[in-house]
Amino acid sequence: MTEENLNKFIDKSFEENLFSAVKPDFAECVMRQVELSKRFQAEDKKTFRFVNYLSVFLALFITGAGVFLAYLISTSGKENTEADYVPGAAETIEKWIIKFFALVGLNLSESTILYMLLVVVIIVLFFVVDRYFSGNREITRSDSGKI
Amino acid sequence: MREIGPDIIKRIRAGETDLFREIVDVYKDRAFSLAMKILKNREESEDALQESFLRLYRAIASDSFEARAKFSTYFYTIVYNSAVDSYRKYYSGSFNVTSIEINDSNYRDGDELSKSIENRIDKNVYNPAHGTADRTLELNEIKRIVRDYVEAIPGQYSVILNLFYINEMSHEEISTLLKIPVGTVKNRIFRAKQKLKDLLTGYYKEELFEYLKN
Repeated sequence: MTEENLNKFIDKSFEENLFSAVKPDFAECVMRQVELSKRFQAEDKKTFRFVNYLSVFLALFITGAGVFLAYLISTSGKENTEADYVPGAAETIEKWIIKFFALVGLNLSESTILYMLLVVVIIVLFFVVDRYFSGNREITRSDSGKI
Repeated sequence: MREIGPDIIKRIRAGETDLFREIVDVYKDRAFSLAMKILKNREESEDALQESFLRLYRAIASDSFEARAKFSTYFYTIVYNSAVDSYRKYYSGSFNVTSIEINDSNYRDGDELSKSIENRIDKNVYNPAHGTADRTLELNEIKRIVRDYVEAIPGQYSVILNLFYINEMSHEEISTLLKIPVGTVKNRIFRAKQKLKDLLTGYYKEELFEYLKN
């Protein structure tokens, strides 16, 4: 009986002394992190959807350009050789682009294209930095307070 | 301990994030005890545990959680792995629950328990001859021996003891989680208990049996 009691005492002693409790505000901190994680997951979904749309747009654009070129070729005279189609198509595309820029008040010149490229590079850089450098913030402690 | 059912998982997955708090409340302390046995540092253990809860939430939210195993076993596996990863990160070494470093050529299985506690216990403090007739003081001394012993147990034992006593896992579940034979699990638990028994009966046999009678 005493041996049995001793075994029970040992088991109870282990249970009491192995146990450690977290700080009282631990659960709140975890829930804040979970909320942040949820928000980031939603943003990731949005970005994924945006990339999907962009891919579809590019695919449609390339297909459209192909159809447009095919149309140009088919409307040109039959005596034209292959070498004549390319400058003809390029000229037409250039004309359309110049018309488009004129419509939005831009005169297409070398410097305009350079400025535009610069703006595109800045936008791409911004997205890259935003995506890969501030995207890890969910696992830093600064956002939710140290636990 | 309350086991989390599939209905709660389904509801969290459906967007009821607040229900995740229930899981945190049920498991936080028991999982923290496990992390503490590996990392032996409160802050690092809480970080590892927080990461474990986030991993669990993401697994539930992204449908990658499948209730194949018992929920508690699944979660404690995440906690164990997170704590071992943190141990590797903070201490630049791997936490090995199987190997016990003993350099003594006369080593006998289980000696590491004696060594760890003997270094810690001041025999003069625990000598009943110095004691007093006051029962409360004796009981406090017994409790102190137990506390010192549990604190001094090497990680190779304390992780298994924690999984058994605090996380309420079976010998088989512990064996699967730690990838060690069931026999080793049983042997470590038995030795740890036996050593404490020897220690207590060695210092306070009469007092202890007197206390246990009541």
